[in-house]
Amino acid sequence: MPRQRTTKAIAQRIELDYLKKSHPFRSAMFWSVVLAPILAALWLAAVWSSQGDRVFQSGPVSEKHALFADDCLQCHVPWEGTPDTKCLRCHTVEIHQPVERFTPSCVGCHFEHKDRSLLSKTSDRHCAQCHKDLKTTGGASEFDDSIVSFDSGHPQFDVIAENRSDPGSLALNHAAHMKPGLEGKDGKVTLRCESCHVADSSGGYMLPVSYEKHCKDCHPLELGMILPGEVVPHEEIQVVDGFVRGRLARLVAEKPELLQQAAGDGDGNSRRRRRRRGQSEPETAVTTDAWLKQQISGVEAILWKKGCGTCHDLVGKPELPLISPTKVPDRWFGHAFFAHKSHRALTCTACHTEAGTSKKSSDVLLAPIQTCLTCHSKTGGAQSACSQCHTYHRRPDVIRLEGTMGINPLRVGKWDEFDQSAPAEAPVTGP
Amino acid sequence: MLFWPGALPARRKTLLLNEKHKPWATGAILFTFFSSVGYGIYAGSALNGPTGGTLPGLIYGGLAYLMMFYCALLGVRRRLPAWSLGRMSGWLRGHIWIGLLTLPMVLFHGGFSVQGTLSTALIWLYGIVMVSGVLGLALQQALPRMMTHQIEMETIYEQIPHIIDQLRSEAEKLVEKACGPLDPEKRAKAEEAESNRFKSAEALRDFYERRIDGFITSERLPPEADLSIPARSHALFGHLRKLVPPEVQETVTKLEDICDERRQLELQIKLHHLLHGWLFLHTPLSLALLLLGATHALVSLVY
Repeated sequence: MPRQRTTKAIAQRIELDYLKKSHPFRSAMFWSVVLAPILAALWLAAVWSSQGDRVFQSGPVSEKHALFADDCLQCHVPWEGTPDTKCLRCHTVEIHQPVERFTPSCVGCHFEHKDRSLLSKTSDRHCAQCHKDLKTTGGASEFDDSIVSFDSGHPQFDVIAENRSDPGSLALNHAAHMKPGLEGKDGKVTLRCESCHVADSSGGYMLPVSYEKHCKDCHPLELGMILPGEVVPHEEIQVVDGFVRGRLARLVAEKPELLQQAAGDGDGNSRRRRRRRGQSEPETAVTTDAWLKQQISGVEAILWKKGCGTCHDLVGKPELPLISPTKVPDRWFGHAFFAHKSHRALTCTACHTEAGTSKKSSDVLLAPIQTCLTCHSKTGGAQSACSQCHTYHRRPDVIRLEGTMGINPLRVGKWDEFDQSAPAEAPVTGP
Repeated sequence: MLFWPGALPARRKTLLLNEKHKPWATGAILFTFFSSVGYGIYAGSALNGPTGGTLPGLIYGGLAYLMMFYCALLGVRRRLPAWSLGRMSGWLRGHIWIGLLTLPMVLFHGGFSVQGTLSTALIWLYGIVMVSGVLGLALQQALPRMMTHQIEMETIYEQIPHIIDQLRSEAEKLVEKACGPLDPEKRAKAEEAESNRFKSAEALRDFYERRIDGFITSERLPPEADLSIPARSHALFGHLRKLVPPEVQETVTKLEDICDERRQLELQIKLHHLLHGWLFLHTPLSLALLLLGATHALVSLVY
């Protein structure tokens, strides 16, 4: 049974001045309250001395600007934030469109301190803030005015939407070339797309088809019976003409009997006809010039028609025509770029579905937007950001610092010295 | 019954979270709701996503800091009890609910993302302060009732050493009255004079010297000591009663009561540490948070 005490009895046991005396609990609380902010300040000072201004940053500086991450003032102006002039000290860019109603600040799109990724990777929202309801200062826009993203509002590619033909003047039947077992230089061949279409060094675009590399083996420009084994170079038509003349001249020089044969109309059938009619053989040979004129005319007539004319458009005088420019487009997208390399897992015909069956060179074999959207959409899973195919600035960024600074001035940001020699300029207006 | 369903009205008044918190809780819920709606609109339209550097982000951050600052003023208010600055209980309610409201403000400020050394340190400090605060709130809700029930001889925490001294003195007097002086020299003289009287209570003196004295005066009671465990203590005193003459029985009972009070004081020490120990994290780290937060705000505003 615990003993009972009255409140009075309990109170009498208390030291009335206990609050004036120190107590470990109160002392510990006092010192922890005093020391905690001091320790926090010391920690901050220590980290600041080791990390520099990075300690205050809300996130890592992007990869390309990491060199300047130790010094906020490289990009920031106190109480002003990050004005465009800071960016333009190094970068020279053009504004997007001369007729644009709104020009965002650099940091409006290129947002720093988010992560290490590239600043050029901007979200569709940046583009859509104008393009979802496009207005210009110069009347109607040449672009669709309600584009939100690639899978929302993006129009069909112009060349398909307008049902354009391939402007190229080269005659090519894809279907004929894709047949298996074609006659090749060394026997039967079955061509594949990459037999003729080869990507450039970046892997982005296909290089132009080259006669020498891709056509010659199967389509040699031979001169035929008169000059067996001689192959005409795939050059300008004047060069070909000179080549033919030179070869024939050498031939007649080596074989003058050809002149005699020509006088007798060296053609065997003609001689047989004369004999049947009782006519005698001509007495004298034709001159070299006459022979050459006759042979060049004959050979070139066949060459132009059966050789060059098989693929090229020939215009002008029939005896020495001009070859029309081929006008084969090297790019189909006027406002976008494309990377074949990124799509290398696919077969060519997965996107260029008609490449195996097209018979006319005027056929446009470009994939329509629906093909792209199969993957490049929210449901498709592949990236579909505007910046995947489009660039905002009208020409590539040029670093104004190129070749102007040493390592240390660059690292410690001796921008003022640089500025004196090349003052910052306002954005250049595009053409 | 928002806070303690089923609790009796009389008991509810003694709780830290009682019905007086209803207006605060309602206000906090409404504030959270509207600020969440605002955040949703802002986050959905922010081109670069929600960040602390945008105007809405700065507003959320500023509100969070002001709320934290208000919460810290509770400590100042406590040190100025005579000032007419409103009732302490009102300040405490504000401290609790405004403190909780800092959570959505902080999350909205950073857009649910934290990067950077200082920001990360701030969020850790904030997390510790919040968790310790909520833990403290839960402890403050439950432990005081437990103390009322289990510690009938509860006293002012800081007076416990003083009370222990008094208990020892009281016990010593009781034993000396029954067994003669505890000092060996004085005892020898007293035994010469009244040898028969003190001989009969020798077992009590021995028990006191071997067990009770050390038990009462030890700074922290060893949990495995016999007298630390009520059942074992009761058994020991029961055995002692069999060894001492009837005239000393009351003394034994009083000594047992003293040991019981000592156990209660030990329990009070433990519960007090539990009840207030979280403050060693909460309070100092709150100040560190305010200091680093002010630095963070200043640097962010300048740049």
